[in-house]
Amino acid sequence: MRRLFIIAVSALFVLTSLHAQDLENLLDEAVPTKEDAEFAGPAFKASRIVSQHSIKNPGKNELVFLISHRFGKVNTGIYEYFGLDQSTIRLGLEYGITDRIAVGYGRSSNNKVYDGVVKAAILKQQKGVKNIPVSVSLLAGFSVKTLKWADNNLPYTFTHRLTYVVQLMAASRISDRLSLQLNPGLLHRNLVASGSEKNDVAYIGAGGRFKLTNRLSINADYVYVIPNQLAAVNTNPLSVGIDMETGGHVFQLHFSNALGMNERAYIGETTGSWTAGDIHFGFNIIRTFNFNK
Amino acid sequence: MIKNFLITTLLFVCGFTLQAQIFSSDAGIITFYSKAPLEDIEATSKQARCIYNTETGEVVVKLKMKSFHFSNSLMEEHFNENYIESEKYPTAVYKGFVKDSIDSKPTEDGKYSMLGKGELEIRGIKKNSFSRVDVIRTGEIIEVKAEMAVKLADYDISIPGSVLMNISETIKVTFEATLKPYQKK
Repeated sequence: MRRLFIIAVSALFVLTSLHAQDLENLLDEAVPTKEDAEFAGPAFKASRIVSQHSIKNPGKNELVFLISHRFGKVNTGIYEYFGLDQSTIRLGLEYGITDRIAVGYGRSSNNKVYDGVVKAAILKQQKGVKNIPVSVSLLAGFSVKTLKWADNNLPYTFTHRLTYVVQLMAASRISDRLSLQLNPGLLHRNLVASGSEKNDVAYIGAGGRFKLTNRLSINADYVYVIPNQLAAVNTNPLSVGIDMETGGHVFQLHFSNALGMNERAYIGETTGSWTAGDIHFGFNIIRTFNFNK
Repeated sequence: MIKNFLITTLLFVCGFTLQAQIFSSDAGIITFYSKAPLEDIEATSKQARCIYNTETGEVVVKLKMKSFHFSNSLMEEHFNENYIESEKYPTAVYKGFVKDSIDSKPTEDGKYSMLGKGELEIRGIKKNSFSRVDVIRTGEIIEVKAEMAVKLADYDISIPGSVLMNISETIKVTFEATLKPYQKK
């Protein structure tokens, strides 16, 4: 009886006292993480997937400098050094006014096109207080082709040089390594080359990246242009490449059947075909400067 | 009979009063500092969860790595994506004991200078960790200030050659929290 009593009391003592292991359990039970949004890591390392814009905005007070090269077609052979002799360039700058709103500016040597864009992040992929599985942004831009008109006698006006684009971007970082993005949009050209082409071009862009290591990934993007809007010679652009991130730079090396590096060009003016070897090699250098204290 | 009853009651009560020795906080501030020839880097988290048993000296601190905020958002991105790999290893955990040479317990008001000895887990790797800890008790409020050094190589965090002069191999980490009596939910 007495022994039973001692055992019972000891057991009671043990149960009501707090042991080493329990301390961590107590922490987890009654001291939860403060209610906060846990944002997903960035779906892409830079503001381009390959040709298309990615969901990534520069951070607040960050300036991004983009030097983009696209060369001639590989099937032009050794004489043209597989296209490397014909290089076109786009120089661009993007700036984060806030964490969610960025503006961009660029100029392409091909057709001497100036482009401007605003990218606004509407939703950010997050878990915690709210569970949002995708990031959603809106892009709106315009471009001006400043190349001299072939025939100056025709009644061209300045507005004939303009195109506009509006695009909704939805991206998800599905796993640590895989991100996918959809870009449905509308391109409007004030002037088109022939009557069979439409001024309004609706399209759906898609792209993704797969991380091979922390700093190296494979990226690809494709635009499906809704049929019967462009000329018969136009094709859909498919671009594939790798991203290498080193400190403040992202280097992108890629191949594409599109020569253009702005929306009006790669969506509306691509004529190359992968199977015919109309493949352009290109590379981008994207450097981020930070102006926060 | 009565003696047994009294002993039982006394032991029972002892079990419950131990709870008055547990203190916790969900808003501990952890800052880390890296001083290197080309650059000084610091980042702060204000979401460290901690619990402290003043009777045994035992401490547990848990922290979400993504709660560290830098003034440079690109640096924060690289911290999470390349160095810590926060998607794979979201939480850092410290488990240890805070004691001084004469085994004082901060059960009364006052300032106690102690040493922390425990295990720090970052990126799934656990390493022994020593820290200086100051405990200041005022009534039922306990302020803890601690400092430790973390060697990046210990946790398999490698510094790429291009930034060897920008990131220190040993990081200073400070911890500050105001703990209140633990409330069971």
